[in-house]
Amino acid sequence: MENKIIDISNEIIGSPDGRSDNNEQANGGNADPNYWRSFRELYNDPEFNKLKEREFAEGALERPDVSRMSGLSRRKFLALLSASAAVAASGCSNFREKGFLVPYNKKPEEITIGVPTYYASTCTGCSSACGILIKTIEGRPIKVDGNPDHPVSKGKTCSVAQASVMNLYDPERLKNPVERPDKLTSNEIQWPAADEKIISQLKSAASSGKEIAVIAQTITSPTARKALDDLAKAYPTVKVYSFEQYDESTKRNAYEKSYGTRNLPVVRLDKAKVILALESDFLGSEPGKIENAMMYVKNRDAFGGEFNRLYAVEGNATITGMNADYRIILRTDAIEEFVYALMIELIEREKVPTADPNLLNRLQKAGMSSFISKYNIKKETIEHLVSDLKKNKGASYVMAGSALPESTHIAVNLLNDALGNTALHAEDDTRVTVMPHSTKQEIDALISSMKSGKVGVAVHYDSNPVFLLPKDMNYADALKSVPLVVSLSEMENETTSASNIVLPVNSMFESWGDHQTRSGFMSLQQPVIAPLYNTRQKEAVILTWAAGNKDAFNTELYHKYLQDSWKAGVLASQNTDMLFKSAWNAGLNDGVVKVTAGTTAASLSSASPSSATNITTATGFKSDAFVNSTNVMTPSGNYVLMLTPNPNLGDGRYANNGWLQELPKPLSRVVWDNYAAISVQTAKALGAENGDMVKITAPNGNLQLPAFIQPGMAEGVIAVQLGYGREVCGIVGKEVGFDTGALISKNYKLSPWLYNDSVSIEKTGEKHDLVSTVEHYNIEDPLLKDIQFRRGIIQEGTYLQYKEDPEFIKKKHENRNLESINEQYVHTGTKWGMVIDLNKCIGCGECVVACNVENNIPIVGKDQVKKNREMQWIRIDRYYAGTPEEPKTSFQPMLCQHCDFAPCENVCPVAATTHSADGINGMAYNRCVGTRYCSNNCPYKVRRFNYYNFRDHFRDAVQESESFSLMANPEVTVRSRGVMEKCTFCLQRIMEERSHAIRENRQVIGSNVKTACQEACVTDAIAFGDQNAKDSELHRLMNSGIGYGVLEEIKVKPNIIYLAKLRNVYETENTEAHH
Amino acid sequence: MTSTNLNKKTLSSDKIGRKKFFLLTGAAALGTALATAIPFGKSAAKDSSSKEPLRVIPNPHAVKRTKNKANGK
Repeated sequence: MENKIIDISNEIIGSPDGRSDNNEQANGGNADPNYWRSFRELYNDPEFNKLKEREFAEGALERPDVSRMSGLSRRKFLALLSASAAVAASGCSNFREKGFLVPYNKKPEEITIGVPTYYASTCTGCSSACGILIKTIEGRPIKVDGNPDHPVSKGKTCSVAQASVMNLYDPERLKNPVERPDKLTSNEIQWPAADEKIISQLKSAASSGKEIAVIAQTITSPTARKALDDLAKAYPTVKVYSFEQYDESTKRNAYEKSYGTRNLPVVRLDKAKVILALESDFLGSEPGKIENAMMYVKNRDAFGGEFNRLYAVEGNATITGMNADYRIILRTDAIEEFVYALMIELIEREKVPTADPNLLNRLQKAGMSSFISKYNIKKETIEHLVSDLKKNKGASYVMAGSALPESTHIAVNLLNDALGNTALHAEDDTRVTVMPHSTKQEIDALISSMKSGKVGVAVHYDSNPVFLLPKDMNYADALKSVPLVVSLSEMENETTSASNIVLPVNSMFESWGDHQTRSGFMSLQQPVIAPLYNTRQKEAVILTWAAGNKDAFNTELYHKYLQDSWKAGVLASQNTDMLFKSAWNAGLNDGVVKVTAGTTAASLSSASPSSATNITTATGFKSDAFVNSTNVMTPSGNYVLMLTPNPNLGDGRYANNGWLQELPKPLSRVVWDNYAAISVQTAKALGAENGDMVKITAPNGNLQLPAFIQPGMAEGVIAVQLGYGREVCGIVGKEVGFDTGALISKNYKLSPWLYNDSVSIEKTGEKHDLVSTVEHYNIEDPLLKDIQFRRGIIQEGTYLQYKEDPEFIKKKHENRNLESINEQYVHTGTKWGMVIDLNKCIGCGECVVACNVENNIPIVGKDQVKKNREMQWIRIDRYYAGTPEEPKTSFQPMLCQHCDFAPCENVCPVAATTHSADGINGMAYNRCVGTRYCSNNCPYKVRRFNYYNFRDHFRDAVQESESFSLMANPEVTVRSRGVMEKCTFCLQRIMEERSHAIRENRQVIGSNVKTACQEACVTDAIAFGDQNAKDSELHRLMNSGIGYGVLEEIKVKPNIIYLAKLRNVYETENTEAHH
Repeated sequence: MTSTNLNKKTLSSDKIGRKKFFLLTGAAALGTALATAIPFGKSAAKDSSSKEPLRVIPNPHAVKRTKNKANGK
């Protein structure tokens, strides 16, 4: 190529030989062949030589040609310029004033700029009423974590509590009272005017003997109930109803028949050596999941005592089942038959004594061997189960799912009783109910009264019965016959849209309260901020009405009422003002107050239709409950329809919370949707694929929704999740998913959430876009099958293997311990690291939400997730092994591994991602130019790129609203379009510890730093700290014999170590479990 | 034709009449006023300059936790 150029040059501009002569001339005989400015000069181009003779370039000295100039006059040009400037200036008039940063003139005592303040309170996100700590910065609540002093939740919270700050700052919260004279008119009114109208109607209804119905959901506050009782005293026709779409009513009914009390026991799962879960997702979605998960993993610590063993028998696929050591796949409606067979096996063959011979008569027909052959179940698994239950009498427990019918729960109560498992019921603690839910008959009677005009006023006490009650109850129609319908609510919903007056109420961050869910303590709730909008606390509204005077309201009304209630109740012994104030403040500081069993905040009257609180503990199973049990569940029909609770969106009340909508479901990883989960066999029979629309026909009508093929489900079982399909909701949650609650019937045969009569499913031929964050691949494909094991991404073994050789995982590594080409940098000071224990990780995803909140991670929307553009810094990888019909599941949280030889760092052209001296792979956002090379080169695919400013891009820029901006963690940069981001090991928390260390003149202590995911992890599966602190727990875990790094053979040296999952199976099955 | 005459002619042909000038100015002012008064989609929705800014006021009766928290002392 080079020769060719020279040839051409010679041809065109002559030989280079002439150059020296020319240069000599040009330079006065001092030619220097080394200096030339261009090829034209080098090769002596005649044209170039001519140019050198001219001082100015051609055209520079000639006069301009006027005829060729623009006709635009100077005047016109200036006029256009001014007009453009004026238009541009008027366009800028929309500039948003950002305000000024000024110091406090009078600094509140509890605020120090830049230092977070914590307040203990109680989460009202569900009926569990967990203790929380609210973190505020300069007064703004920005994060919620668990209160370590709370005896039940013990410093842990669920995703609902974590994401609750988004509900507080939701720009679509109701801001003022609204009056709706008719469906089309909606007028804002003032509180006094609204109160006056309502009080007048209440008086009128009470005097004319018409019922005043107060419809609430679960009430856990004794003082709130007292306020409702006061309302009933003022207006004698008041009746209070409470309900939930999904609750434990069948379990409670069964418990009442079995033991004479509706108060369910606290089961000490931490003392159970064997747990049998019957269609029970006690780790994932059942009430009490936080406490259950914490107790369950206490015996899943490889460095602690003996492992427990979990058996699951289920038709649906749940987190609990997928974490089980043995999983038996069985149609849900065959579970009661299974319990009978198990009982006869235990009673007859294993000689478990029974109290009553009548029981045997009832069980006569049941037999395990016929059951095994009927349902094609592995005999060995049943033998292990029977043997384990027999061996661990009094140290095992059978958990039955809330969706199962009453008869199954009674049978399970008997089974637990026969095995002596009631020994695991906590003696000093029991679950209590401040106000039991109304029965189906009571709600039906209310609806009849409404229709017949006997109800004068209906007050919805922060409840949404139009959406939640079974549609065949026709509640919405009944409301039309009520003269005044009032709703107290935080957000617009299906019931507020059917109300005449809608009153906005405070969020949990703006409310006082007390809550009781256990006999031994009560928790307090305190408002950390004044109401953001023109809202009032709902209890204060009730008290204003009870006073019969609109002027009775003041902002401290309920605060004082609550204190008075406690003065008369819990803190009655603190009989002086000073003593009371001190005890009250101590209670608010801790968030919980111990009480003696039977104490409530105040004495309760009986205005509510249901019975008052009863905290007696259960003693002795009543055999009659089992002998006389009717409606025994037996398999029938081709399909079983199961409605499952939604652990994230609740009953749909959190549908407008994008963080929760975008949290992938643990198994399917589907976001922004619900679906009909069906088995592989059912899908084959229907000819359905993922996303195919199917029509489900149930006793209460039919519903069309997409199908999702869920490996590990029983043939014929259809599982659909509740909480979706909201129609009157904010912009985020409106019309997301399908209202599966419409399938609930008031005339159920088994339970409100389980149907096997007249259930059918058929393909409609339409498609729906189901978006999942997991790559869909065929697990039967030989190329991909069990790739997680073959590449060592998931490493696991059995507990017995571990007992024999605690180093067995480490020894496997030694075989592939290749030499690195990089020289290891020695971190002499702190070196941060993380350990994730896969024995404790249950795949729930609470850590993902905590990370979102802590690190200002935006919601991107379904369309962007579909393009793999989700922004969550942690993803929970879910792997299946085995067959689609009977898979074995592994969960693995995957986040930036902060590799010592991070491949992302080498390829960044602008050094935006670099390594710190303490081993953190950091990101300089303002340096990043968005090449995405780092993401391409990351073997773990944990980097996230801002393809848009997602805050602006998603749902009419709702995340850019003024209120949402108050939610941001000021310690973490809000990223914009074109920037790469990823896990930082919560660098802001490390910096906080560093500043403490500097102030206290000490070294940084690794264990003082807790990352957001670690803090939220219910099962304490995540440990974080300084790897170089030899005496630390982290150091011990990192160097344990079952620790491994993912893809360690590529020698990037990740700083996250995973502890291999150990399945507690019998030795004979080692080979199957160990890959 | 001298250059001065040329300029005068050019100027007179380009000159805007006083009446026309005021009419155009008035129309422009009216247009600007309307453009700023009529809300246009998202920009109007996001505009909060006219509203009172949202204020977060700590509740004086809330009790700050004095116990050490694992991360923030």
